[in-house]
Parts: sequence; structure tokens; C-alpha cells
Amino acid sequence: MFSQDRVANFINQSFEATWESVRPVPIVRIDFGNGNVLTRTLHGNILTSICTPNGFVVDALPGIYTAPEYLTQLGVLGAVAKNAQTARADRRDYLVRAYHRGQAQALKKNAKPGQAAANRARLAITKSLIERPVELALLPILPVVVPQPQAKPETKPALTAAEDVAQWKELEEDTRLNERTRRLQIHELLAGTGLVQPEKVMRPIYKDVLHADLDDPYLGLGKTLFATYPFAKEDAVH
Amino acid sequence: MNRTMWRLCLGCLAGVGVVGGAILLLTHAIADGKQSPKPPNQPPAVNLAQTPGKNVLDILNVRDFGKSVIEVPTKKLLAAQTAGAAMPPRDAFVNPKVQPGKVRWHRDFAAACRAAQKSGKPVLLFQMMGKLDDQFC
Repeated sequence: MFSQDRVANFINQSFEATWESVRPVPIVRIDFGNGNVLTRTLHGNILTSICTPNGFVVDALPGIYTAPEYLTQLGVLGAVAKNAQTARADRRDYLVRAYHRGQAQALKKNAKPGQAAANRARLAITKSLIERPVELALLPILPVVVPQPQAKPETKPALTAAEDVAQWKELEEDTRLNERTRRLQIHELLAGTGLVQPEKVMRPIYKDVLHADLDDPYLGLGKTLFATYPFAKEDAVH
Repeated sequence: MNRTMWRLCLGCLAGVGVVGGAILLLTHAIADGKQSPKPPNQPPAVNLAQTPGKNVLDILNVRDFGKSVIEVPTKKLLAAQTAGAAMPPRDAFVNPKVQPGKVRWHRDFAAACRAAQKSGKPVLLFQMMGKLDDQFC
């Protein structure tokens, strides 16, 4: 995804970006013989955190997203982070907790992802500043503009092979799951922690939200991998 | 009769002298070989390529060595010592390096935060299993 001009340009213009590895990725290799080797990795165990310039997490996107949704969410989160940064220092933590509380409530009410931001914009027009709930204080007033593909508004890439179509559907499904379920978990976590350094929440998010326990050499899959393996005792001896 | 006995005695003495001298020289040569110093950490290649003791060559007048006497063990030794470094084990998986997209990535989180404090932009921290500049990540 970071090879796409649209994505890379938006990130370069809007953020100071860095990446880091939390552990080696599990690699599965199946040697079918005669030089036919299948190599795959476990996808989806990624976390995008948006932080203030002084290094505190404002919000985070768990797992993989389609590029259009990723950009849309990054746009909103970037605006939230800027609003948090411009708020009074002694109120930032309070506002960030309130923001997460509001987002979690909205998701629990089955509001569409991004609906809270739209509500925030409407409130800005129809109600006075004083009446605005604190939960919406950090959300952008105006809709965030993210770059769209030049050809058509439809962002789904032209796919031909059945495998590509299946992968795209999986990605769309993952995106929905991330926005509905995993984002809710992250909002609930960050509503409790407030502004926090990334290393303080990285392991809990990987374990509880992405279901990949970084402290377990088998990422929490040990029971599944070994429960029915008939030679476990023999291997243990060796 | 006396003359014959005298000749026999001289012959015996000469024979004993030659044999004794040969034994003496041989013993000396062996002793030289044992005393040849061997540095404690000298690599085996030196031993394998080492020329025999000078006295041995002088005394036994050994024919000229063939090239193979010196070169073959050296080749074997080099092959044994370098094969592991030059060729990874057959089953080892090498993850090829690739460009980590077109994003301008800062070296680490601290560097990104420093840049953000100057630019006023938020920091995007992308955490993952594996490495973004590995082909399989």
C-alpha cells in the first residue's frame, strides 16, 4: 500500500512517519519438491498509531485497511491529533479520553464509521459552541479531504483473476471488522489510558485486539498448533 | 694370513662406521623434526603446506615434491573453511530486501517526533511483525 503514490503523498504531506518491527513475522514455507516452494507470512498484524509531536498516542488503526478507507481514517485521526495538540496542555488528556469515550459509544450504537465526525460538523453549524459535547471536541469540524483516485470515484481496483477478487473481498471484510470491532476495543482502551506512550499500549493491543500475544513465541497459537500433534512428546525428548 | 686378517678388520670397521654415521644422522634429523616450533594459534594451512625439515631433505635426498603434495590439502582446507560462509545451508530462508514503499520514513520514533515538533505535523507510527523493507513481511 505504501508504494501507491496517492497513499505515500498523503502520508508525506500530513505526517512525520516512521515504522518499526515489533517482532519477526512468522513465515510459512512449504516445499513441494522439484523446486516448488510456497512462501507466505501471517498478514494483518499491523498497527498504525497517530501521535502528538511529543510522542503520545491519540488514536490507532488496528490491522489492514483498503487504501481509500485507510486514507479517510488517517485524515480524521490527523485532524484529531492536531486539535489535541492545539488544546491547552492541561486539558489534552481529558479531551482525548472524552473523544475515545464518545467514539466507543457511537460504535456501540451501531453508528456508521465516521458518523460521529459528521454529527460534529452538523453540531458546529446548528448549535452554539458551549452546547457541544466534549466527546466531539477533537473531531474535525469540516470533512477531511483525502486524495481520491483520478479515474473514477469507485476505488475498487479492476480485478480479473478470481484469487484477486477473493483477496479484495477479504480485505474489505477485514476493514469492516477493524472499524466495527477492533476500533471499539481500542477506543475503550485509550479512554482508560488517556494520552499514553506507544510502548505502553502496543502489547495489550496486539494481544487483546489483534490476538497476537507478542510475549508468546507461538503468538498464542500453541494450543491450536500442538494439541492434536501426535509426535509432540517425541519432539520434546529431542 | 696376517694381511688377510688386517683387511677383514679394516672392512668391518669401515662398515660399522658407515652404519653408525647413518644412524647418527637419522636420529639427529628426527630430533630436528620434533623440535620444529609450532606457533600456538597457527592455522592448519601452514602445517599442511609446511616444507619438511631441511636436514631431512639433505640427508635423505628426497626427490622433488609434486605440486599436489602442497596444493591439494590447501585447497581442501580453504574449501572447508569458506564453504559455510559463502553458501548458506540449503534450507536457510533468505528474505530479500525491498524498498519500503514511497513514504519518507524517519529512522525511528524519536526522529519522527523531533521532525514533528519542527513541522507541527502529527506522527504516524506504523508497527508491524517483520520488517517493511523485507519482501515477505
